[in-house]
Amino acid sequence: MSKKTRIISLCLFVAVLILLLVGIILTGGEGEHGDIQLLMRDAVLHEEGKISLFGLTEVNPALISAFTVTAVLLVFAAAMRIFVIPRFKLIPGKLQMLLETAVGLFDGMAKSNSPHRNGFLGAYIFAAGAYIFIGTLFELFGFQAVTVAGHSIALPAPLSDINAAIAMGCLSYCIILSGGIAGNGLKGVGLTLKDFSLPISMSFRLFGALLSGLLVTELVYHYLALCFVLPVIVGVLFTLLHALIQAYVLTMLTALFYGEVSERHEPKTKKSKAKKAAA
Amino acid sequence: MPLNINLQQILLHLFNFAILGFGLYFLLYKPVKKFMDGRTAQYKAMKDEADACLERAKEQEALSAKRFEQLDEEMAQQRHLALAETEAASARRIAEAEEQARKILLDARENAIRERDDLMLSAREEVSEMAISAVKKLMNESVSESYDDFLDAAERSAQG
Repeated sequence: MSKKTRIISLCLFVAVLILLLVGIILTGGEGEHGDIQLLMRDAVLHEEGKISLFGLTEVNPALISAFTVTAVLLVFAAAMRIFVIPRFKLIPGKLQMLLETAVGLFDGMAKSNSPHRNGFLGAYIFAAGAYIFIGTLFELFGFQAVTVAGHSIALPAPLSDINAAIAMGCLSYCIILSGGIAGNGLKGVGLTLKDFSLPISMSFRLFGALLSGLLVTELVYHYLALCFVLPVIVGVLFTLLHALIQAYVLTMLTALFYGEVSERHEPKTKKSKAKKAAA
Repeated sequence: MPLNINLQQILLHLFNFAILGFGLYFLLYKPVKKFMDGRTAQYKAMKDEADACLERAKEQEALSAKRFEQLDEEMAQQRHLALAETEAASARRIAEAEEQARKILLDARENAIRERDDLMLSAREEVSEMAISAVKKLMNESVSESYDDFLDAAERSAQG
């Protein structure tokens, strides 16, 4: 590329930037859709943007996202089961390596945190991890849906809905409880119920983390002037980080508490008996 | 409910996740884990087999080393035996040779004595024969000469 061509390209690029800036300034508030407070409130509570579920009932958009993510994951899993897994080799290829790493990661996490009882735990945290990770990344695609009111809405991450977060938190708590019962019977129930705040903390941690990402993204996109460069960091990098961190945190906490309550404790011997035995 | 919490939607989310969990378990987690466990078992079996082979090789090595030691000992014993036998054989051969030499010497001495005696005897006979012949010869010569002298003297006296 000659020096003259380079200068012309640079000038064109600067001109485009100036034109864009002028356009932003001249269009003024046209990029702002309604009141930001209402938008934030709706993003949290979903009072306005309801979606019809096959005409049966009105649900939050996150439920549609959850169904979509589940469908995508199941189709992917079925495709892997039919086309890839039967062709697995002793020396793995790239896709086989990816699948084995994902399964091995959660299986290893289950084994390291709950060495005595981990078969079901591994399967659960694998599904939960995949659901949280893919569900969080789902919001990046910005699939559109139509609300009952007829507005277009971008489907959010499933777990940015408090109902999904409560479902996930409570289910994880129930899994931990089942581990306690399987490992220690009634004593395991007691051990699990001791951490009664766990379902609330797990639910609201997920909800808060994912909702904060959603709100920041909404806030950024609400102002057109902030729509340059910044969304790359806010929209993509933060979402990727969220996806990784939240999937890791919930699965790790579930595995940790499961291992703790399902660990078999030796029955305590009475002091008098111990003294007699010692004598 | 506050925060738009809806029990029906919570149950719908649970239903959704239950389907996802079962689906992922049967379609992905279980087959991949089964394959990985199978591969681990296969590698473990290979490792066990290799360990067993190594163990057998070590046992064989120990046995071979022991066998080599036994062979060395046997060879040393054989060498000692062979040496002893050789020494005995050589001593026996030397003794035999000495005996033979002594015998040869005795025989030679006896032969020499016998030959000397024979020689002495034959020499004595020869000498006596020679002496006899010489005497005879002397006697014959002296008779003829005296007779000749007598005849000469008689002739001369006859002539004379």
